Amino acid sequence: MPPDLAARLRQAAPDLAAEAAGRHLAAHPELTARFGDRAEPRCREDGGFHLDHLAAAVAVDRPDLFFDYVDWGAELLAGLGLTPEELADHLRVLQAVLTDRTDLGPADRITRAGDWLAQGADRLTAPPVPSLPEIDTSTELGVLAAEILERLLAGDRRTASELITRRVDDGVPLIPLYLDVFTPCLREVGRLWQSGAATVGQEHFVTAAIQVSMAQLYPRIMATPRSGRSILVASVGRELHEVGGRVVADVFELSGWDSHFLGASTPTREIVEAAGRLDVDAVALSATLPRHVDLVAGTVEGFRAHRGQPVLVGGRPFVRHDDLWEAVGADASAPDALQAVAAAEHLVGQR
Amino acid sequence: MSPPAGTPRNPGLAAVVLWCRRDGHVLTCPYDGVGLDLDAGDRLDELVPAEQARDLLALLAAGADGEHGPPHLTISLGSERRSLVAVAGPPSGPAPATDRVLVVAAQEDATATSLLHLLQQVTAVPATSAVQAPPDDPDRAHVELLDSFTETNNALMGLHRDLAKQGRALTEANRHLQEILATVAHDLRNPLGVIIGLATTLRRDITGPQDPGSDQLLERIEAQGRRMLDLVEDLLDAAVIERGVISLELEPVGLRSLLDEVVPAHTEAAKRKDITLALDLDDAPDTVRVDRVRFGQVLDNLLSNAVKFTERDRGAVITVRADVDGDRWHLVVRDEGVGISPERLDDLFEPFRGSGTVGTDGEPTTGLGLAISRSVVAAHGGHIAVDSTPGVGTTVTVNLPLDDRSDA
Repeated sequence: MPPDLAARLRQAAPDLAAEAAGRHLAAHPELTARFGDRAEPRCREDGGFHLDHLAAAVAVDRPDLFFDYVDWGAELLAGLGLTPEELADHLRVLQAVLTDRTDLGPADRITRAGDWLAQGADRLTAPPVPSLPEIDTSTELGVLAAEILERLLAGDRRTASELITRRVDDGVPLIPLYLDVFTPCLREVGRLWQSGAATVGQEHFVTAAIQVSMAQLYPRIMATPRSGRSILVASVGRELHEVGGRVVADVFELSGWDSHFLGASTPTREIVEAAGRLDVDAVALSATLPRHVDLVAGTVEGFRAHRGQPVLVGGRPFVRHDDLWEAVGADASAPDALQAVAAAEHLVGQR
Repeated sequence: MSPPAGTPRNPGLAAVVLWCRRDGHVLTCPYDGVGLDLDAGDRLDELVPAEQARDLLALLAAGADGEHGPPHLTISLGSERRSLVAVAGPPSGPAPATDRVLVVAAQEDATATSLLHLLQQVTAVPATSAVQAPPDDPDRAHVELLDSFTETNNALMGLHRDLAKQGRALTEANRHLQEILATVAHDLRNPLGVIIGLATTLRRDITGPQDPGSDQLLERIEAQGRRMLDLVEDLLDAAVIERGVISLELEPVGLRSLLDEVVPAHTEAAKRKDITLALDLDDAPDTVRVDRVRFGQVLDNLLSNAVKFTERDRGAVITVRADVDGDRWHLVVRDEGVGISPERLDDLFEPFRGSGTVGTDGEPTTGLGLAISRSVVAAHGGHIAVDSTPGVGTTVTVNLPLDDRSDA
């Protein structure tokens, strides 16, 4: 499907979400009873999220991206007091509202996008597959990760930080610490939040505390020998998650690359400008939420118009769908930061 | 005022949103080709072609389609990191004339100002702005507070990372500087040696008789050449020490014989200032395990400083004492000189910190002697401490192991 349908879908999303909220709440008076005055705005907001993710999937013509979101959203919304059946009904109402809107694009394409909503709803009638813990406690570092996360969830940053410092002093190399301790901790707290087992406050706290621990390692990280290669790492525009990008930037640094990390929500023009100014060998773009995948595609396209360096993409959607990088026009993706370094070495070596 | 060329895609949509809520509902706009992705502080008129912006704003100012809405327009600029420009217009229907435009911003910023400016340019309808906090939503406020903490944390981490990188760059630059210094010093040493050698040869009349005036000039050439050579040697030592490649040849050395080698070099200078050099070696170890040349350099530096910074003609005494304390021994050089102010004591051992200072008789210093001494003592497994009272004097204590542990 051409991307312009995605753009129109996003433009119309507030209207569609409002209309769907009206119909959905009329069919489910128990929601108003449960959530009171907040039922309508919340329902509208949720509808907006669903359509935003649908639009991202439409933009790169990947329904699996949307289904991935439905699975993720079902667990999240369950934690917020919504049943899978209610979410499924909401998606079906959105389908009905969407397919009425023939002004958004060719009928067959609208129908197809509507079908994805229905297929998403159908997934929810199957028994839910519980998400698996992200920490593997069969390894020594997995045990450390679990210990650290337990401390942090209890709000005890000091002990968690000491656990890390002690292990570093004991000689645990930094790359495994990043890949097998920090990353699983961050993914696990995200999973716990999604399933309602951790609050948003805990999620923020754990992320911030791990970032502080990473910062404490910077003097060691920056002392590693240089290879002479450099990379620009950034989260694409509107993507507020940045810790994944930071992990990637640091692992590149630990691998001898000079990494420039631009942080969250980086507009394309800044990425283009920095890639030229810093004369980097490669660029790595990160997106955490599936609905930002088409932004990655837009950023890659915008970047290619001005610069010739190879582009790697990463983040949760690209880990879950290992061929998605092609759909966004990138040169490579990798399931973790170290493999991203290998991929970048390969791409830069080819030039 | 003229509406944009494109027909509204969605005539029923009453609101025009040119960004941006934090949750990602973005760029909703009923018109083809118009969508603004604004950062707080962006100037609207710098981001989009003026014509396009004016057309859009003119249309907004003329009133969106609608029959029920009030004949005025409110444009809200949110407080989000990425500003929102939402237009709450009347619902669909024939367009009534707008009689006033209000730009509501959560805070004064360039986006609001430039929007207002553009509105005033493109419409005769009065346009004003107001600052108004967004409506409260406890849950959202909580999440936004957390978000703001996270953003601050992210920014701090970014800063920390940048500083660590800059620290590395500075260390690297310093290393290059040391290398250059070492190269320059090394390249200066050889020609200096030749100059001094030739001056000495001339003075010794090897090439023929010299008149007294020439002899004096040659003596000065030789003396200044030696001073310069000392400086170059110090620079080379400092460069070697900075690179952490100091190597020692440890051997048993008779302390008295070492002092007999070093002290006489300073007696002449001390005598000129009426300073007495006294040795107190009653409790001293007979032999110590040191690098004879390097440790001699330390003694030389300490004595040289003591003489330089003791005023002349006061009958002052400089004492060199040594004693044993368990498995360590001390060498103490005490003077009755001008002393060192407490603030200077902190960085006394940093290279070049003392450069430019001169002795009480104008004796020059390189600012490297104490830095070299500290590194040499540290390489011996010892440490060096300074205690000083301005106007009373200075005591430098070198504390070293008696056995050969430093050789390990």
